[in-house]
Amino acid sequence: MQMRKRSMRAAAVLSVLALTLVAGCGQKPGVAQLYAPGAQGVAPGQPGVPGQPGTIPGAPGSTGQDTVPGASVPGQQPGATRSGGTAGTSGTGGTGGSGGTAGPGGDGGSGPGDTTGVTDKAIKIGIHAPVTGAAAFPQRSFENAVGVYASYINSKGGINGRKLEVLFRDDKFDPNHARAVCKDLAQQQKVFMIIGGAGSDQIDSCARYANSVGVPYVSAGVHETRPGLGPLSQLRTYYAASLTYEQQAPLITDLVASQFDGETVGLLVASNDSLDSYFGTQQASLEKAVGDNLEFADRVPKNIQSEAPTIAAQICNSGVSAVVWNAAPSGLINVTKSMTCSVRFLGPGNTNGLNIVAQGGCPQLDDAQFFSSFPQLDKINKMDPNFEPAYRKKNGGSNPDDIGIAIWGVEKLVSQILAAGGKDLSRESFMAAMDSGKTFDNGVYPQVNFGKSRFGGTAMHQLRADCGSNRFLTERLNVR
Amino acid sequence: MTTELGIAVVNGIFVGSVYSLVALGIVLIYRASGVFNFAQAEFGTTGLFVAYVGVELWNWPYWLGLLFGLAGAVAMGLATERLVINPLRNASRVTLLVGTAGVALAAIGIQFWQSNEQPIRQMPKLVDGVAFQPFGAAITYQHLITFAVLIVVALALAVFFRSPSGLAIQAAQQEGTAAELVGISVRRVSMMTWGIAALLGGLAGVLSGPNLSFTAGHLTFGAGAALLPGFMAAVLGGMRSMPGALFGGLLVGVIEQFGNLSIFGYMSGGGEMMLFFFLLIVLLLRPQGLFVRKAVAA
Repeated sequence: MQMRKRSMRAAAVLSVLALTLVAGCGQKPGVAQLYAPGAQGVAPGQPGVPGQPGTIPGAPGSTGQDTVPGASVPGQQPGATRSGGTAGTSGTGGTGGSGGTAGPGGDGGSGPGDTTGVTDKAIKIGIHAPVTGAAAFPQRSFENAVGVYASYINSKGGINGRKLEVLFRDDKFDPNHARAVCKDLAQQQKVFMIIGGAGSDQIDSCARYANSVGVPYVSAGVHETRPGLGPLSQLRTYYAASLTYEQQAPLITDLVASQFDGETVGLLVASNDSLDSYFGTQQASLEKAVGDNLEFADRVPKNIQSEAPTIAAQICNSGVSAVVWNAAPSGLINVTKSMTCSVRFLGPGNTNGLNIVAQGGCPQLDDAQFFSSFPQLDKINKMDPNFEPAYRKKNGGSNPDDIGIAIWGVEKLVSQILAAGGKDLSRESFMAAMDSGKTFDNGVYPQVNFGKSRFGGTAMHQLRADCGSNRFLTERLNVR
Repeated sequence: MTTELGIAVVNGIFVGSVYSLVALGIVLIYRASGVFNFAQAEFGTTGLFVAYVGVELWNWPYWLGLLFGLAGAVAMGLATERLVINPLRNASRVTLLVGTAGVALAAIGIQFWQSNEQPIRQMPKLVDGVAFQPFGAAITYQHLITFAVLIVVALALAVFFRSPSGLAIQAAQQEGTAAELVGISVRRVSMMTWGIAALLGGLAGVLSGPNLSFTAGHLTFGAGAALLPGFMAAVLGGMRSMPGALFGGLLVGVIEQFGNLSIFGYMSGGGEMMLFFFLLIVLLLRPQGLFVRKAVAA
């Protein structure tokens, strides 16, 4: 009996040992490179999306392009060139305009459709974003930010006579929770459409759910595709209002090539499978531009905890001048806190360019450059003079923050599209307005045009961390 | 490869110092009352938040802020003993375990509530700067201070458990009625035990917090998560051995860092996965742990 017990124990130990060896001996791909130089949707246009191409009669915007009503492009400075003129050399700023007194909309729709969330008096929309979890943004910031533009536009008469109501939900930086809150927004709260605030996996999860129930979904650009689940662009109801990570890859490469010519750089991307495509695109782009100077290209855990000192040591030991980073902001802060060397971080947006990241990551994060779909506090008043007064009015005089700008921008953009959806607003007319190929320009986000694809971004703003003031500043506008 | 292993060992030892402090508290409570204390790490996070208030918000001198943080941790430990453990002293151990988990969750809830405005916080280090960099791994003065505190605490506990008070803790746990008969106040011993354990947790919090940014639940599931590794260290040590908890914590830290180098390393929790494999092997070979001769009945 004892022999049998011993045999079973030995077998169990051997099994576990074998598994451990498999795990332990297989070195993490890319680690060596750190030290070795050289080393279910319906396609658009198919039935269900009537009204294409939508016609959105719009007053010409200041750019002279065909834009929607209300998009008077405040702050579209002459100096802010489409190729990324330096923000500091911009002009005096726009007139500010009315900031989107959403006038009579177009006739993008084709008559009655799904009007869930729309009444004669109101349009109810939902927003989800991570307030808790690895992203950890201030809850008060979101509470203050959500509904600022809605209050503003409602005070101007609303959207085609309807008041805008905005519901907010914390997705806890968890894709499963994001799906749950979106289900709540869609089925219990019966919102007209949903906005994804931040977090690629949460946006992916909610976008796919929204598509399954026919709810329009707009977010900032994240990844383009996910292994096993397919491209986001094939979701019937999904629209990205800024450049995707993949689309930002060449911009980042240009930034690296122009600033670190002849110096070594690295690439660190979170291990989420949703970032596989971005990782491949960015790696290929960097390899093409800098060749062997790409010292390492590696994946890091989504939630960096005990790994932070090791990653920091690997970065410093590699001797790189810059690291292209696309992972959670809390991980970035923890890695920078463990670093003993000075390295420039660069990457796609939007969350790593928030001031809360600068406050946590400085001084090691000094001069970090991240792209963002919205400008920082130093430029917003020139670009959209209505933002700060509206923010203070809603929040009892509180100072605005950059999360306020982000939510203001996306609410304003969605309001423009809602206006373009026409008086007989339905989900079909709303999506048709986007599919029409017209340009939406609200003076906060770079111009958006969904004519060619669901990824409607045309440019990004470029931010730079200023550790003297512990915040990000707007370095360039509309970088293409 | 040597460099990577060297970094893993160095980082592991210093991360493991924090695990050891948490494990010592877990073992102390277990030895005294047989309770698996799930609030142990939250003593540390609470101490860290309190120290942060003193140092950063009220601009107290650093040493005073640290003492304030430790006092906050001890107060939480004593409150836990009075409000949860003592009223449940005749309840089953599972009930007590759930009670301590409830304390941890309540503390995390309060931390979230109080940190809404600024969820990511930072504490300055006791002494800034890097002492040396073996294999390129930065050993900060903060790391060295944490390690030194661990050694001092371990020696102090060894002396303490040979003192009358230390013996009283063990007597009260083994036979409460008999201990009362010989003049040992079980109530006082219980409070002392929880106070010391909370102090250990508080040390883990205020010493590890400055190494990273911190959020609510920092030592339980945040960036400095030490509860699970602390339990693993305690189990490796046999749940009763103080030296076992100390060396178990350091071992857990190193194994976890090795795990970050493995093929699981790119995943969140890859290091912990390696830890579980390691713990499983140890427990299959030595169910009683590495540092005691006989298995302990739960």
